[in-house]
Amino acid sequence: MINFDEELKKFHPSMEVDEVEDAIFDHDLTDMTDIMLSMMKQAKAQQAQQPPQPQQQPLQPGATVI
Amino acid sequence: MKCYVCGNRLSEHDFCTACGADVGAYKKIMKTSNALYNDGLEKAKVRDLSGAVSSLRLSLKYNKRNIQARNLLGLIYFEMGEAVSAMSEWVISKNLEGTKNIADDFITALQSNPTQLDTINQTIRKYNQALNYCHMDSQDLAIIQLKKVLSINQNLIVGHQLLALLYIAGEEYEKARQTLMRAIRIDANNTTTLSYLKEVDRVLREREEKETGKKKKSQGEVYSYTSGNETIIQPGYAKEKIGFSSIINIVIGIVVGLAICWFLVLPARIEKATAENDAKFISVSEQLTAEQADKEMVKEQLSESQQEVRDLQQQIDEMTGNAGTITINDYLNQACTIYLEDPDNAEGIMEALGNISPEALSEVSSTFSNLYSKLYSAAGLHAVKQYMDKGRAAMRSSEYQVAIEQFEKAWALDSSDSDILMNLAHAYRQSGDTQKADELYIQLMRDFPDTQNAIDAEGYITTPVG
Repeated sequence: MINFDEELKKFHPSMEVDEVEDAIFDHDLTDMTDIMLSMMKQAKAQQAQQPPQPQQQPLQPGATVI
Repeated sequence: MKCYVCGNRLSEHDFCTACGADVGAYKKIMKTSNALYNDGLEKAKVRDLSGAVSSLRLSLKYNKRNIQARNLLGLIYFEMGEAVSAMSEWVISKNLEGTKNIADDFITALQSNPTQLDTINQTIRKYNQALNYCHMDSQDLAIIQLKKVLSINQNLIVGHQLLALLYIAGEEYEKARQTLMRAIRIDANNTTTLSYLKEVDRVLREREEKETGKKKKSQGEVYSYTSGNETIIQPGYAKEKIGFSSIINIVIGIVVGLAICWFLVLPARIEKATAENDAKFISVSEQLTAEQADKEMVKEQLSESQQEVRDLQQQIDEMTGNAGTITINDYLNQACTIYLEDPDNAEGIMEALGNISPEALSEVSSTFSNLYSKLYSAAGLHAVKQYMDKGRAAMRSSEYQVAIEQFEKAWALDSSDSDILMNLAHAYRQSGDTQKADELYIQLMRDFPDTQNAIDAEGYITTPVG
């Protein structure tokens, strides 16, 4: 059963031709590539803030492996 | 596909061969965007505009620089009657890709036609107005306004949907269904449209079932009554009367059939027959005219022939008439023949020549004339002698009439001999015709005055000369 008021809420006023400029400015142009680049930048920044990890010593011959 | 770091063209490897950047994930994102564009294109081809919009918008979420996807999205918005959204997509597309972009053509086409742009703007305003009426519970005004909008912009999907919603709210389900079907013809797979249509179909089906149920119930009604100890149950529907009503229906059918024949078939037949008759009439008229012309020609020829026949007949008549040349020749030939057979038959010769009139001799040839003259002179004297001898013999035997006849003939041939005239006068005198005899005596005295016969004649005259 269709609820007229609920359905009516789904209809929005259309933008007039004069409002094209606003529509373009309000357009969200962020895409997946932007997000990915942003994430990569954040990751690099975090990497730069952390102290460098001590390097592991190579195994000596004859050492017991657990 | 270009590297997002340095802009170098990427190879099949997952790293950029120029800057070494890891482009594996980037490549997957680009491929997904392209796949979604293809999906949107396929949907658009089958008029699933809503599905195409979803796919294309998702494609642009993956890659905002997918120019083809953005242009197609704008085109689909325009097809759905949302010109402003279309315009914004094309403007963004043009900004992202300045050269060799079809969006430029779309924008130019739209901007070069201010009337169309104004119409679109008015449509949008009216739609917004209609929506406003809906919020103010003025649904009748909203319906009127939406009808105006849809008469101008038939592809405005939201307009159709809103109008259908208003019809549904007013329980005008048939109209709602028609409006939704129009919307489906534009956008085949719109979720809102389909949900409304489903609801409308459900309600219509329920109504139909309700009506059918009523009919069945009315047909299935039974009547029951008790007769004595028994309860009789009788079906409620009356048996159809097939007698009189069938006859009426047949008569009506015949009348309708005749009317169709009279008003539709007959005029066509008559027209066809008239056309055929006209053609025949023209053909016959042409033949008749030709025959009349032939007849006139034949008549003319006949008249000419008759005239020729008459002329020829006249010529023949002239040639074969009594005074004709042939007859004269015949008489001359006859005279010649007699002379050759018996030269002494002067009477026969003269008789034959006597048939030739003096008038005819004036028209004959010189040869004819010479022959005639020679024959006449050759036989003339001899004939005169014969007539005279016969006359004298008759006188002696007192046959005066015969004598007169013979002397007349002799006188006719030779009027220079006074003896002939004297004998003729004597014959008349002896026959008793003294008057005639006196005339001849007087003639003799006058014509031959100094002859012995003239002197003698004076003595024979019985009546004195006055």
